Amino acid sequence: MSAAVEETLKRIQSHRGVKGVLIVNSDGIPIRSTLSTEVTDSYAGLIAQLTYKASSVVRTLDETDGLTFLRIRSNKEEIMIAPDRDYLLIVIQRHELN
Amino acid sequence: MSDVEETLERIKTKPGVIGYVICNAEGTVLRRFPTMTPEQAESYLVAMRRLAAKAGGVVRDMNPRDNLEYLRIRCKKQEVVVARDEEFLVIVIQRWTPAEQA
Repeated sequence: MSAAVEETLKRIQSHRGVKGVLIVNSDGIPIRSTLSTEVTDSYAGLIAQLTYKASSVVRTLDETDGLTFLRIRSNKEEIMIAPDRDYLLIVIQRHELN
Repeated sequence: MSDVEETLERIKTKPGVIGYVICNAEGTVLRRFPTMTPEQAESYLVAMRRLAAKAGGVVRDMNPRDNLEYLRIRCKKQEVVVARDEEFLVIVIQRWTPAEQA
């Protein structure tokens, strides 16, 4: 992984509230993560599947459109997914409580 | 009920909102944006219901005590926000513009 990628991962990880950053390839395999292997593997598979489904739903509703970003907000955290042609960038963050 | 109507009015008049669909747990459309056809509402409903269920599953698989609050699906042309609770599913479709560069 290039230095620029490492740099970006570190930058995102250092934002307040960020729990973890993952990069997953088109097969759903995590190729870089700031979380433990176990947690990474759980998130990677589930999120890759969900993103694939979301992407296909978007195209079913409008075949000229495409998924650019996905945000899943739960009671405890928020998962942000930026899909690219070959990779998924996933950031998991805790909610800020003012 | 008037709380609901008030909220709907607020959503309806927000700039960028181009559609909404509200349905109950059984999947019956309760409200839809005035300019949306029943077929459009139905397509969104079917698609988002499945997606929200899947997203909810992901959340609970990661932590059984956690629960989905909402799902934001941003596309090239629009953004769809889906909120789900036990009784209702709320889908709002809006146009989005990039934030001003800082």
